[in-house]
Amino acid sequence: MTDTPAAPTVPQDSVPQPGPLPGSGSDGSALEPVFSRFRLDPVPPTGTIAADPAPEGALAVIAPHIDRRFYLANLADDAAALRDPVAHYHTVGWKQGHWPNPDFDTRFYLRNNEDVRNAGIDPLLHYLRFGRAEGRLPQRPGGSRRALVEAATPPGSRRPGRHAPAAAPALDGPALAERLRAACLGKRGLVVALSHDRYMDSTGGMQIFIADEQAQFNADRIAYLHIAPILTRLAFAPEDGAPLPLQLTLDGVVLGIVLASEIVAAAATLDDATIAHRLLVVHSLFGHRCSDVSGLSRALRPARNIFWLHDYGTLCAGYNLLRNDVAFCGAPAETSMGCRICVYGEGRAAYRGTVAALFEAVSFDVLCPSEAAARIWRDGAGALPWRSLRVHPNALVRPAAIREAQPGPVRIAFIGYPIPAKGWMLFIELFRRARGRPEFVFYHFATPEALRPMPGLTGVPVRVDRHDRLAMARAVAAADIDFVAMLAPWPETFSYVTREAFAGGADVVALAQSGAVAEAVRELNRGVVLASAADVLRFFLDGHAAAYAMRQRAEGRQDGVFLACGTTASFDPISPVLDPARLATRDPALVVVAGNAVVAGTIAGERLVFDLPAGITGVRLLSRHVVPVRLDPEGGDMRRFGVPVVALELDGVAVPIGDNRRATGWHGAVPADGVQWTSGDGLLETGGARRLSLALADGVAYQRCKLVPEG
Amino acid sequence: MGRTVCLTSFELADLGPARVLAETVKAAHPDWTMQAMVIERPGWAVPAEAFAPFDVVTSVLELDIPRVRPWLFGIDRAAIRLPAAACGLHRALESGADWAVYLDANSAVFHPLAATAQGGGSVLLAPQMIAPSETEPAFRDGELAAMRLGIFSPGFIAARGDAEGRGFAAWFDGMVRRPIADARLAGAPPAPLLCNLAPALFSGINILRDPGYNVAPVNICRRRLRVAPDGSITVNGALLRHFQFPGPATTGEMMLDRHGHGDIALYELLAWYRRQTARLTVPEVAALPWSFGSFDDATPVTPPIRRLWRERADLYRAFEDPFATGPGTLHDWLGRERPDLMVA
Repeated sequence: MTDTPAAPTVPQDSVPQPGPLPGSGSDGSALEPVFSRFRLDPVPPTGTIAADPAPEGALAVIAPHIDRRFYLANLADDAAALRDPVAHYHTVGWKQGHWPNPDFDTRFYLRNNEDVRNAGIDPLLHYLRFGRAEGRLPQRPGGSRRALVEAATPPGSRRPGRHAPAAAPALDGPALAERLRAACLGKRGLVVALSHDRYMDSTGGMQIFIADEQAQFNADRIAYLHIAPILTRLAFAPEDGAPLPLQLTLDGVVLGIVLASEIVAAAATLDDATIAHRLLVVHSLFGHRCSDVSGLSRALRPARNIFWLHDYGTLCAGYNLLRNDVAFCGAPAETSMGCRICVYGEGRAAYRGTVAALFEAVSFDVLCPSEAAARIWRDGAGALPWRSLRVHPNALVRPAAIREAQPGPVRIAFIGYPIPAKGWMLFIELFRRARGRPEFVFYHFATPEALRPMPGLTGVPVRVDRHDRLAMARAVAAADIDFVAMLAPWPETFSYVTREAFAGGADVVALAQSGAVAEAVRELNRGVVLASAADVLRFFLDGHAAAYAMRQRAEGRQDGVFLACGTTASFDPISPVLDPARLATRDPALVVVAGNAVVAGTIAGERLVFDLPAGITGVRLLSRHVVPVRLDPEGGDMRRFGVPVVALELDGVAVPIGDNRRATGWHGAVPADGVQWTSGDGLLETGGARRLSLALADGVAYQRCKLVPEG
Repeated sequence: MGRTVCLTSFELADLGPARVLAETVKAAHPDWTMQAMVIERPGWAVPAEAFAPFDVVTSVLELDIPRVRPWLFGIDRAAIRLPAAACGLHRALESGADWAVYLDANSAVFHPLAATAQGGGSVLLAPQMIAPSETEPAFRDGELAAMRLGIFSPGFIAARGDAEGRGFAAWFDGMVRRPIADARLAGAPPAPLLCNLAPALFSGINILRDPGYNVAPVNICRRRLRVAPDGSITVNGALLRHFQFPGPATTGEMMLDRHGHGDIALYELLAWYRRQTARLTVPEVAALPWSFGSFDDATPVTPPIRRLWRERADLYRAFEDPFATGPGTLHDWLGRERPDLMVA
């Protein structure tokens, strides 16, 4: 806790605050949040409308309607505007199309009123004197949401995009089966996972989730085959019987392009002797053919079929349940009028029939990352059959130490892709109205290509990927953000952004309908949940945000730590709670692979002994990896560690630390430690030796997956 | 409930919107007979499947209306739908229908038109407004317009096949075809204004004050559209039954902008309607010229010619087929007496 609260500050030389912003709903009354960490008391309006000497005539009419800060935010370099914004708008500004306040669109008014345009007069003056009484509109009604409705198109009319590596080799069924058999050698299991794109190349939430999942399964000596369509689309591939090429990634490396039918054929060759434990994990069906997925399940014969609810794509092709891309619908019956008028409504009955056929053919264990999403899915799924439905969060964040918050204006950030489904439109509306106010500064954190540069909005390039999962949290902490505006208009199933905000010390402003976002804000008591977009604007523009930030800063900045990633690999069917302790085991599950054979070891005292077949010149030491510390922001070391070898002998002769026979897959030797770590797949040149014995350091915890039995 | 005939009248250029209406009526009332009354000369070169899902397609000339050509000649295109439909309503009830329902071709049905099944009246009329306007612009588009054009919607009339309903239909049919050489009325009485008289003349009139009926640009100022969680579309909390859509870039569209409260559901409806009309419009048919828009030799019949025809009872009596060309026809007379009205 700090002695002196770092309150938001307003520069002393700032111009007087105009009255309530038009359209902000500001009336000085209390704002009633759905949830708030701090009580939101009424904030009286400050200042008066007119800061200039009383103008006369036309200027007197328009002066109360020129929002100085708003107007000057676009004209910061214009001396005449700075000197007298009212006169500037009346003489020059309207001709340049500037908005005098957030609610009067000069260009719209002129475009839609030919008489005003032809008369060559100040459109704001005309509106105030005549147009308003005549029912003329100051701006196009419906705003950005209307534009979204008008731009919405049925999913079937959208062209799929091609997304595949140019140099990927084409494989047939037998070649694929051969590659899989080789990959499974010495492994404890095989996961076959499907999603809508190749996760290695994207930085979206689902893609990072899959990368985490692959890493966790690999750490438990389980192979991970990922299948993605080549033609990416937010719809199923047509059930037309045509050959459907798919792209495969094995343990994070591109394997090749294989027809769906060939994948099914290859899966059928994987019996228990090849790989004992098999799982099918569906992350997204988009781009796939449901009949292929059920065929794959039949051929693979997995111990479990897992279906993740990363979105609501099993209820509707509009996977975020935004009717016409703009209004959360709650997945009503497909015969409802809401579905009739929606771009996703046409064909929804057939779409749901396809999903139902898949769920009837495949007995899925359904995993959902939040209670909020599970409730919606359960209500909307109707008669869809499933084997189980469990909640398994995607990440676990725990509070870290409190640090001192920096003084200065209230810092507000948007994180991620600037798209309507993430609340970008509302954020920009807030930014547009508040820009120029000295008590606020605005940030946008995103990958460089997703940033939208504009004056007054600080873009911060950040790339979160499987190599650096904490980049966003660090960036949020570095900028000392007060609020992350996570204004998704639909019930997100999970939100990494929300966790990243918390981990970076920021509180989150969310809409009540944002599902897992609002749920997390409530659970962790870290932000404000508001009923409507209008209330969000009021929260910021009416002074509530500044008062909130003052109390937040007084209590100190609370960062957080990512403790675990919740994926299929961390799921325990017996106890689905995400708990890092449950992921750890003392058993390294070490095996030795010699040629095409797995050599069973025996325990001799403190040592493991392996009798090697004749004619073998090298073996692989396959093991689990240690429980990763890679999500610890203080950790830093991103390398994967297998087993710590303290002694190693071939035919009774020691192979010392740093010996060249410890070939690839060994971390750098530190002789003083008396230990050399493998990466989990260490190659040892044996030179024809027939016996390998080794000793491991004690006290190491390894990653394990409870979905694949021990032994 | 017995047989219900739902009819709409339109020119071939508006076949697309009319099919949208027919689809929505069929969805809400699969048992209704959907009848298209096409205000065109018969013999059009449009394939029958382009009229799906209408059950019956009839040219207005096939209704056996006395002196139909002189009557049609006097009506402007913008005002012809309801007069033409009045004949259809009357015929449907005379042929034994239990209900005859007229809906404007630029409208769509959402939730079922339950009033026809709920009894309560022999004739159903939907007021343009069911609450006073609150602003000056709304007053101009509302009360003032209603005083000029009629308080009841020209886009919805339903009549039951009982004595009162048939009586109303016969009266309405007769009135819209009555030639009145009165400059103030400029020909036959405007059909929407006629409906103003109905509550006084017939005892079985049921004025539907349900806000879900006849939602239109003229009354949107007092109606709020929502999509409820169960997917139903509501107007002031009642189910949306019937929405009258404006054409693109029309006064009606401007009225929706002006008085629509920025309700997102309203823009969703408009976008849906545009998608449906595009889907069901056959471009070649939509481009066809109106066959009653010209004389037999394709010379345009301009509004001034129609006005003259309405105001000159002598011309009405003198020419049996005002569309005809050649010696002794109206076309011939205009060429000699009023060449200023003729457009090449």
